[in-house]
Amino acid sequence: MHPCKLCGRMISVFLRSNRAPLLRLNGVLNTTRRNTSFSLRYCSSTAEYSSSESAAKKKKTSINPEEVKKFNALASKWWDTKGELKALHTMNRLRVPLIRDTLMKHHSVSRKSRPLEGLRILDVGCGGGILSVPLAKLGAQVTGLDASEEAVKAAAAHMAHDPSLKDTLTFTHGTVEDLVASEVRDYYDALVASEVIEHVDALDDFIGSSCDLVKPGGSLFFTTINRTNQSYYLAVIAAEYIVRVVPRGTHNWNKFVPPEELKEELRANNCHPRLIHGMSYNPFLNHWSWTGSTEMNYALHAIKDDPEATHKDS
Amino acid sequence: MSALFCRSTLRTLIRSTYVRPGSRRSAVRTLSSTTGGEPQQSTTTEDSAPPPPEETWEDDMSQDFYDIIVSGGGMVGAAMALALGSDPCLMGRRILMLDGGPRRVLTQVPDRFSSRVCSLTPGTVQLLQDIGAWDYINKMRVRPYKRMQVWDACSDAMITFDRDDLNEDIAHIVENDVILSGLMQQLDAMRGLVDVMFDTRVKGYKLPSKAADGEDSPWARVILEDGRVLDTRLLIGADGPKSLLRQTANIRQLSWSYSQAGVVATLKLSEPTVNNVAWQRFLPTGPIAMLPLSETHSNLVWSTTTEDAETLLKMQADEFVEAVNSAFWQDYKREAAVDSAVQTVQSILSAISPGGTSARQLPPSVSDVDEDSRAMFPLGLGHATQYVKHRMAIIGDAAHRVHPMAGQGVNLGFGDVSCLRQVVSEAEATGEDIGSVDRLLEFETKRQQAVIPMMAAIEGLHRLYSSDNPALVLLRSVGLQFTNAIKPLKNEIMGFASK
Repeated sequence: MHPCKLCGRMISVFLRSNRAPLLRLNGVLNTTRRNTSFSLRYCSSTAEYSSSESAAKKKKTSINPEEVKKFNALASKWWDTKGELKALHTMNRLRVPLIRDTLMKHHSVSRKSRPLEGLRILDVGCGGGILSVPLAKLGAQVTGLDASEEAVKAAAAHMAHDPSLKDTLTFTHGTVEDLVASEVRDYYDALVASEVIEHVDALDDFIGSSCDLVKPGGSLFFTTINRTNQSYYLAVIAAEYIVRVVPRGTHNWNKFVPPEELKEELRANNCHPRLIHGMSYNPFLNHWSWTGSTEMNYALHAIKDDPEATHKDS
Repeated sequence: MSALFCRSTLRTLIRSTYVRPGSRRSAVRTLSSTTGGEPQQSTTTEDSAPPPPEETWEDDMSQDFYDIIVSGGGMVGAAMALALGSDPCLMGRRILMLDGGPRRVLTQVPDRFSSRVCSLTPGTVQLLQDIGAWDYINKMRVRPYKRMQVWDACSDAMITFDRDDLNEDIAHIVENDVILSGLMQQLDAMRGLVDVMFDTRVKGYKLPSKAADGEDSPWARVILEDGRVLDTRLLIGADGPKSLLRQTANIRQLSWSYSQAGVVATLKLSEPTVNNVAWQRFLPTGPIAMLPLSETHSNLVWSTTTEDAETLLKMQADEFVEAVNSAFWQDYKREAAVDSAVQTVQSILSAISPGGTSARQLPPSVSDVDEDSRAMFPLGLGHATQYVKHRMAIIGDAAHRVHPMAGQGVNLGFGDVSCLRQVVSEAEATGEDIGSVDRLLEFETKRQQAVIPMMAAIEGLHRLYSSDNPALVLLRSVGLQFTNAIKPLKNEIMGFASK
């Protein structure tokens, strides 16, 4: 994992340079399915730990205590709101209300307590669960998906103490392609990929799989960074070469995604962009705000075509 | 003054000066010298008791989990529990109020007035309406007043406050028992939304460190005397001036004790009146106030020296009544120069704006005092240097205690309730951790911005009026006259005091 200071996240290395490694990775994942289920079992056993001591002690011995410590340490890193990932924590003040209000409006929800109850959300590239946890607290049934097994275990370790998340939040090790491959289609009410697509190689495949996973009429949310001169100088040159807050080579400017390109990909997959908004970050105040300009960071919401609804409308 | 209390400054000062426990006193002197020397006749102490001995609670497993626990079932604690329980964003959250005492509901309003009363500002009444308790309170017994007259014993200077020609109430005088009973009745009505445990004493608290992903429980923990252990995301301490939670959290408290005491009593008036004015006179020994309870009764709050207070308590009823009457009517030491200056200013002011200053009214005379209604309590000022830490907040007297002269103490506590409810509700609405100190700091900042100026103002008035030095008398008298004549300034003050 690389820490990416500019956008502030740990980047799981699931960046693939061509199709061959992708296939290989899928192969590995198929063989590590057991690992995936291990991480799920791990998460449920630690959850039990908080409620029943004896059961937990029994199970705890079946888990390597050193491992538990390691992932607890990693979880503290993800969840240190003043640490290197602080920008991702404060970004929640923008992206959580965006997702909450859009879904509330779309599903005509007016209650203020657990407004997202009954909705299935997939958080792609969830990392330590910084965005998955608040969405689950708002009532949604959230699956956090990440290609980094370590991140997934750290996320599970963090949520294990919280009794209210036991039934609504699960973390899974894998990729969107895996889910599609395991015949999960038209399943989620919303898919969120926040600060992810700028690290993806084959954007068309990623978007294609993402759109497959969402129900017709469901929502897709993206936040990412634009490919502009401004982002080149600020995100790459300034951050990696001048201020050196990010290791060189963390960000590949060529992979940054202009909104037009993202919109194009979405339309090609029967998803229609509804809203796009610029986001600006003040690193001195650690504060995000909405802005009209999408030159740097932006958020996009799209809705997948619902043939039945369209039919009804016409 | 505000710099003194300012969290960052203060914490830096404290951190840098409180290194050795032995050097505490001198450290406090350093602090107060930055505000212009030691206050006269008051002692500055630092009464943060050493934290209770660390017990090993590691083996106790939590028996129950609550989203929010409010520790303390007084007026502020009960209002906090109700405010959280009635917030739409917090619907379905598990909220618990712990009360060390019994459930205190008045089955019927007693004929006699209690001498413990509060002056509730419009801001507080609004809060009580929002949480559904005001209807109960209003049905029992409240007394609104429309005018307040404050005057100086050492000169003719006075100031009056009223709203738009007596159309609106300035505040309501309500007995503490009535407020508490109204809150308890509403808690009964909200059973299911707020859990309440009466007669439940707390043995101790255990607070998590900020880095909460170790193997220990990341929650705040309450250990009850009966051995039960409760975990919570957010622990709110409304446990009074000696707050155990504040001590457990190692939050320091700066406190002043004036060697003064407050005497309270229920007074019977000589003849029935409209009785819609609150009266306060500044005597050199401290302010005396008469607050309306009904057409025939008023409440007395008399701040004076501890010796005088003890004497007042021991007096026969008729002697006491005479002492009260003369405190409101008697002429004190006057300086001719001050008197003539005050008269000159008055004539200039009335020439400039003839209707601008209200006429002086005379307080009603007192004929009797209710048996057993007399009581006294020590006066002090206290301010916690922090209101929040990770997973905890303190509110009301646990965080700040002021001189009763302005009737602001409990209103500041209710202000904490409104503010904390809003902060917690916003955190919940975005799925954030409601116990996270990052959010709670918003509450601390907002409240310190409201509490510190109020404490400074009250403290300043106390100092200004506890003297009969002619120079000071002249200064405060002329100041009061001008304030009284400038309507916008007066409205500003009323707005400040009625939040």
